[in-house]
Amino acid sequence: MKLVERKPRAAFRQPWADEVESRWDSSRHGLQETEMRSLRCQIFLDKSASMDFGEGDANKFHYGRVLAAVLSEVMVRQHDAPGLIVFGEQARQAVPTQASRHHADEILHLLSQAQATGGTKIDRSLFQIVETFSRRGMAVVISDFFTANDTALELLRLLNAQNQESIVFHVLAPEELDLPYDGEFIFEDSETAEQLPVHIDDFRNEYQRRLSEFSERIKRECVQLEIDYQQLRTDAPLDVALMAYLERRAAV
Amino acid sequence: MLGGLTALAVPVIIHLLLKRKKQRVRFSTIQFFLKQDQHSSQKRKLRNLLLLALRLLIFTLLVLAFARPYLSRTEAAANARKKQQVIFVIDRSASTQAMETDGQRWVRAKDRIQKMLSELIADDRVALVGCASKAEVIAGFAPPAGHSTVLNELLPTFETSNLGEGLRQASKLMVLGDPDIVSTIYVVSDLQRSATQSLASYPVPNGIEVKLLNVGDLLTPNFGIADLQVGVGTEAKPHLVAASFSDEDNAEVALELNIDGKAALSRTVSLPPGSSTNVDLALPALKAGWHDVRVTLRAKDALNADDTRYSALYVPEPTQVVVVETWSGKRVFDEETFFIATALDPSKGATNSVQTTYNVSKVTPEELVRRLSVNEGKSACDLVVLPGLSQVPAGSGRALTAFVPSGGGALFFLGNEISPNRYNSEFRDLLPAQLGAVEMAEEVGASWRISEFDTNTMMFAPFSRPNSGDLRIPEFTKRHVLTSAPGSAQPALFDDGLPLILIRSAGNGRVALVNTSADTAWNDWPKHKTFVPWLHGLGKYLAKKAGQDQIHETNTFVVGDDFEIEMGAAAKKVQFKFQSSGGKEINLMSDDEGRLRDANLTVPGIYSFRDAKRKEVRRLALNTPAQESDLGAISANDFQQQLVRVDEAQPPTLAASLFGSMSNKRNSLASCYSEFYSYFLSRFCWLIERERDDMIWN
Repeated sequence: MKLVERKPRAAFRQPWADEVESRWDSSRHGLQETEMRSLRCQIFLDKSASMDFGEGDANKFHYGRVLAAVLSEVMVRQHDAPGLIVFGEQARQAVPTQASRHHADEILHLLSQAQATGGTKIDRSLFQIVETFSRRGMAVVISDFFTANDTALELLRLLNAQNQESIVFHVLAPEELDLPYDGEFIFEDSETAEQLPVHIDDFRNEYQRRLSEFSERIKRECVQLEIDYQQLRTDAPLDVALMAYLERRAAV
Repeated sequence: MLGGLTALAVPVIIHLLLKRKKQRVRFSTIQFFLKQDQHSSQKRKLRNLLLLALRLLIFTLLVLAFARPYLSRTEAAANARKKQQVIFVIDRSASTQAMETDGQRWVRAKDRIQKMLSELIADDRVALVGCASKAEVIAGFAPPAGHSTVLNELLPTFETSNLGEGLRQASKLMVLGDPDIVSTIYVVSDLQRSATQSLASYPVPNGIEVKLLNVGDLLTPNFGIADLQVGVGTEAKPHLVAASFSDEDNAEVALELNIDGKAALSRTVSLPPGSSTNVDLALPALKAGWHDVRVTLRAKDALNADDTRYSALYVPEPTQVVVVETWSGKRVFDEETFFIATALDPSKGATNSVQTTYNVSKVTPEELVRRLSVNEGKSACDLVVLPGLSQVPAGSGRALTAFVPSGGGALFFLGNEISPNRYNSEFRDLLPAQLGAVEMAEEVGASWRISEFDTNTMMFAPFSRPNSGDLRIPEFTKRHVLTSAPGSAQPALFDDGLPLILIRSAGNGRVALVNTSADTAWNDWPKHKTFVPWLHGLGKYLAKKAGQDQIHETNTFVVGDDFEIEMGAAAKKVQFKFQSSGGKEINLMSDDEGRLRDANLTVPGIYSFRDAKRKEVRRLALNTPAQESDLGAISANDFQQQLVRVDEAQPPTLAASLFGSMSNKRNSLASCYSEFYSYFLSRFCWLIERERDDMIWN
């Protein structure tokens, strides 16, 4: 197979395109070498109802799938094999991994049609998918981790056990982080529909403390498992997330 | 008022409205809000309910406070509980010392107060307010028994009184007392007209009862000395004013003038009813220095305090003037210096205390040198007046040249037959101008008159006042041509600009040259009224007696007035001793401006001030106010009518209605009411504070 120099697509050029180009340039001398270095990169996207929170572009699910789309495109350019796994009420391999140059389009198509519904269940169905990973690869988990018990941590441990280089993107909306409400409200849980009267002024500090504690717990677990952890505000640009991925990918 | 309780619906409606306003919000997860927030919510509900209850209570208290509910009591219960609060406003003016048929007014006043004190019970509260030129609280609220001693020791004053001020003080004191008990002000006074003049200016609050204990008759006959003037150097002659405040026709009163303890004059005058009479006083010759003058009236009248009047008289050292007379032996009015000497000392030999402060002695030109000899540095006179000398005695120039620089004064007149060259030579060091030839007015067709004069100089200062005389009237028919010497001044000019008077200083002394004759040979000035005051002023200037008149001022004061005693600018922060005649010595320190304050002089008499070396520097006289002699009084009815009260028909202010008393009802023995509005109001205010704090804490 001949190496054919690919021109970058002008319609889709990100700030990190130069980085990608240089990596491509540095590896264009050998397909075999390239083939030996491509990884299976599984993108785990949380599509539970709790991800459907936030206004406009800051909506967590929207943010998460844009991130997933961009990552898959990057992976394809790097001759990696992206795949998409969605989980929520149930888990499934939505798009298997494949090192095809048009594979990102397939992932993009699926992402565009995905909707966030249902509860967050990180359970056996997801674990079974993970257990099928036979080769070393990368796993990118995009989720708010609002699950029951410690099932999110179990997922991370399993990924580690399966020899996956993992990155966790903990996606949270500004409303969840800052709680910019005044007075007394009745909050309705997006997944369980449970209602609870809350006086924000009374409880803001305590809520933020609890959320921070929750995030710290996930981060500590990631550190222990040598998993990269990035907390993302959905009103922040994606470059932080992408830089984190690229650094991790370079280390592999 | 109780309809205001419908306002209780307001906080309830607000509470309900706020309750319904909770908004529903979809949130990603409520797992972080569970459990503890439920507790918080319940706590908050409870707090809101408590807040609602608090607000309802506040509204209720406010409505009740405005409604002013009260409990009526039985008369027995009211009487059993009734306490009194009494303030005695005691008139301490001089008129209360008057004697009447029932005895002295002051004694009667104290007896009546003591009697009332004995009728009060131990639970009652009594205060005493003294009323003289100022009103002051003598004793604050205390049980009646505590005031007997104070009252026994209380004395009347020699001052006037202002009963209105006393009522104001008592009203202020009443506010500090217990507002829940019966309050009464008793005015103990002879109701002298002068004490009640300003009653209308001091309104008494409604609800305070004012009663009278009248200790004087409406008309009590009296005589008094209203005024005494004995000043030296003043325009008015010494005199006194005797006044009658009696309806007796042609009452005979005896007057005695006493100077330094010795009788100087005795007279009996007849006073028509209700009138005053001036009595001139011919003072004897008095030595220089301070003198006590006392005038006493003797008559059958009620008040003795106004029968004696004092004055402190200061006779300055007369200015010793030596007048050189060239025509001695002639009839006195032919003498060249007759006008000069008469103008300076018109009553020579008879008395020196009325019109003049000069002592004139005449000498011949030959005797002048001997008189001017300086004896141990002290000159035998203050001023030398020389008419035009045709013969200048030998040595006179030398003697004058030694006399003037040592502090003396010299006044040169010109005249016929003087030798200008001789004058210019003999008195060259003294004259303010060189004498030239004589000019005669007929040569120029008209006599000269004074056209310009400096009113800033002592000799012309009297003419800055209106009706002091016209200096342009005197005519001058002869004069010398003068050439001013360096350093001389020209305080007066003729209408053609030539000088009439020139002055200069020579060492410590002063010299004046008047470009006319001492008599009427060259002018007619002595015929006009401006001559004497001009000459006196010139004499004072030359003899350096300026400021002496000021010592005569303000030597007499009235008891009760605020006054400061001027001791002079040099007497700053100086210790003085002062004593009254027969009184003890008291030390006083003057202030930064040489004034003595707070001398606390309360008894009429003469007071002497001495410096640290015990040299007497000042005397002053203190007298009873003249208006105290008029013992005419107003009736009790007139007194009550003159009292001004707050108008009851006007709608009361919020403060008055909330904090004012229902004193008409409370003071009545027939009923007694207890009101709770003040209690409700105070609790309302406290709860408002509590709610405010609660909102801050939340």
